[in-house]
Amino acid sequence: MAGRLQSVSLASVALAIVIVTACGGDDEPSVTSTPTPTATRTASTTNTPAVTPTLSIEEEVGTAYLAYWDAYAQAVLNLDTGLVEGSAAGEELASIRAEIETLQADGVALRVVVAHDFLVVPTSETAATVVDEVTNNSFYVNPVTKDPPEAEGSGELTRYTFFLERAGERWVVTRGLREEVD
Amino acid sequence: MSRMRSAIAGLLVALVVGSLASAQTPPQPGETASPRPNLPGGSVGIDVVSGPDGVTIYIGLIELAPGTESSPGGDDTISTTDGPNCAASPINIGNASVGWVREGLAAHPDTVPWAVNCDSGYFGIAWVPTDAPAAPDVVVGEPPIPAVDPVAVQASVLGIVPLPPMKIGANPDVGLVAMPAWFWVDGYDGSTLRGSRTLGRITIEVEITPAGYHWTFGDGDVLDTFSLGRPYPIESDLRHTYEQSSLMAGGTFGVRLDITFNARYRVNGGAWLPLAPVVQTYTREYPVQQLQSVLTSSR
Repeated sequence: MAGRLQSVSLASVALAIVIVTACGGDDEPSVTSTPTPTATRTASTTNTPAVTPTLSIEEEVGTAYLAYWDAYAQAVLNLDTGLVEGSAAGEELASIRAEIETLQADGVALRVVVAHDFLVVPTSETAATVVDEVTNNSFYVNPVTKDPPEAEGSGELTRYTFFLERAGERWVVTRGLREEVD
Repeated sequence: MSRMRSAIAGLLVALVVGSLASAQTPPQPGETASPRPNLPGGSVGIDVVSGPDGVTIYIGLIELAPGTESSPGGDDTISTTDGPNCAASPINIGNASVGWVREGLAAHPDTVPWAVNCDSGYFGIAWVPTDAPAAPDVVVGEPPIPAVDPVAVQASVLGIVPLPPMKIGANPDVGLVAMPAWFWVDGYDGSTLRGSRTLGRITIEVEITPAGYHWTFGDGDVLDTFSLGRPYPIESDLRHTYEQSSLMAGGTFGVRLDITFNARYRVNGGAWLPLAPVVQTYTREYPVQQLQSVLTSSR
């Protein structure tokens, strides 16, 4: 997670909370992927049932989308496509694989430093689109030493459109578009 | 000689290797980089057009089959035989604080964002007026070109086509009674003139061609010709002989040239359409003097 900078503006307060969780640590965010509420008994002494909050599609997709970026950042830093296989599939996974092969051929790795500004647009129960204006300050690093740890980025603004599909219990990015923003 | 050849060959190899190296220099650690560089571009055109019948979203994708229109109502979907299926639906932005949404709303006041999805993989945002009477139609293709009013084009022909700085040429500068004066059109070779004006998605081209030259010499004589005349010192075929001085006409004769141009126009490279001829007028004050014979003594 080193070098990652993500500032997120989201469509709802609830989603913002989820994303803050996602950005707050190195672990995967704790997100219940099923949309139905589940009440569970806990070991609480008060014996009060704890309700797992139901996440909307927007919240699920937003969390999965940021997890995808985390995984992608690790994959291009470590030049290991396997690190993103749980978050990307199909055309997108093939594209990342090609990107990593190019980095390997060039003898560099990529440290991803981005700030997100995205909106989730569900298109069905199993498909969603994320429109994200990304401020990019990423830079190349040595693939072995990962140096330099910091560098001045370009600050360029790029609009990404990513298409996500529900694959079983999780959302994966299947395709993307990019467009430079003036 | 062979040393020179090998030196030249070495230089060429160095140049080629050098150029290849400069063209394919690998990135270095610390250089700026862009994530997901090999994603395809997603920039396409969306036009939202409000008309008397409602709002239409036009999706300007080249690879899409053009011109199929959907029926209004609800989430709007179109199907084409050869092209993709596209749908538009309002985006629930809630109380979103997403920066580009705020900027989009500021740039498109009184609108709401609609998501346009096509099964060809296209996605875009359309800013639809909040007061749209119904769900917008979705049309794959360019919006129709508004009709061009020929009357408006006619009125601005000479504003669209730049005319060269023409004037009436004459020799001599001061005419003489009973001596032919030569006239010509100065500053113009008689060629067809063209101009264009673009406003939004409309480009109007106008073309004018000289159809005739009508001369009025100020003493009551006129001449209609297709000739431009010829500039001095070449002898012009446009001549006029004044029979009296311009003294009685206020000091000069008002020479006037009316050039009639046939005109036509076309819109966005389409077929040429006729316009009424246009007339451009030039004038020149031309003094004509009377030569007086003077008797002198002779020996």
